[in-house]
Amino acid sequence: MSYNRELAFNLRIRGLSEEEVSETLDEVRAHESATGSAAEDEFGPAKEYATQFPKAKQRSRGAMIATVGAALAVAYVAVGLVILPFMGVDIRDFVGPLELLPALVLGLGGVLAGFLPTTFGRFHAHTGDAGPAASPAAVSALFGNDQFPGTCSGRAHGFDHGPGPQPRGRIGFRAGARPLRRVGRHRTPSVRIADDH
Amino acid sequence: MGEIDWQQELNRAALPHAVLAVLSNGESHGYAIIEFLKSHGFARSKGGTLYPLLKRLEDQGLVEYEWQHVEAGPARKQFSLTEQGRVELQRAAAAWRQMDESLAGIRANRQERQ
Repeated sequence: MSYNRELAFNLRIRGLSEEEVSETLDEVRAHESATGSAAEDEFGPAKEYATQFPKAKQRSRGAMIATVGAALAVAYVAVGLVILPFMGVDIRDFVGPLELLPALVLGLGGVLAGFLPTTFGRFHAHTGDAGPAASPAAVSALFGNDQFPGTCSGRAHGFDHGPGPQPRGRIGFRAGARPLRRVGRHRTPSVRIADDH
Repeated sequence: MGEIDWQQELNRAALPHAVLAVLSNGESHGYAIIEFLKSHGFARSKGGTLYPLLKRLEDQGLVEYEWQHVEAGPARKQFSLTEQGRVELQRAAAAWRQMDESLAGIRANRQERQ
């Protein structure tokens, strides 16, 4: 595995966004070309260099929906079974004899609804119009995260470009992917699409 | 026996301060920062030290960057200091002065025994 590939792999494992991964690789490449020395001499082993970057907390949209559902369920229990009885109101007058059922519905509903964007997103990524046959969704599934945008192959971010001009462009993001974190001021997007797929 | 490499110990502690100071004199890119530090008596920092530091400073809002496209070779980040970075540089300078005074005071005064 080339240095860049190994670095990209380890940065992704740490949960960095594709934009951050690609910027880090750009930096390494620019530094390499400025110093004329090998990346490993300047940055140390790829795996160790990756640990210099703080692990990103990953939270998919699905997890967020599930969390909201769970919070609503807890709120229902708190209000319906703790606060209302104090005020002399019986929640069973409103929801029937199964007083915990609404909490169950909220909780389960959150989990189910939470799975939908993720599942739909994966499906979308798999059938993305610009996507290559090699499935990023499979890679995504392998790592259990949604860090792999649907329209780029692993090859596109392996950064084994030849010496020729490198095409630039914006990569697409599938539904359900979390928005990119701001990484700095940009004149151009730094994420590249390989020209060979 | 083994001597302590004071230079190295201090380099590590002073690097964020030094990077802010370099950028306060104008925007610069990673390699140029390293070369500038080296020409001013710092031990040569490696890319593996400098870039994560720059990223940390950026996350803290002290530096920002733009991509600069050069004729030959890959694009590089051109870093500059933010207003907040300037304020932090002044605070760093004050902290360093205070540390220097403390050390001088400790060296000069005999410890009072009780």
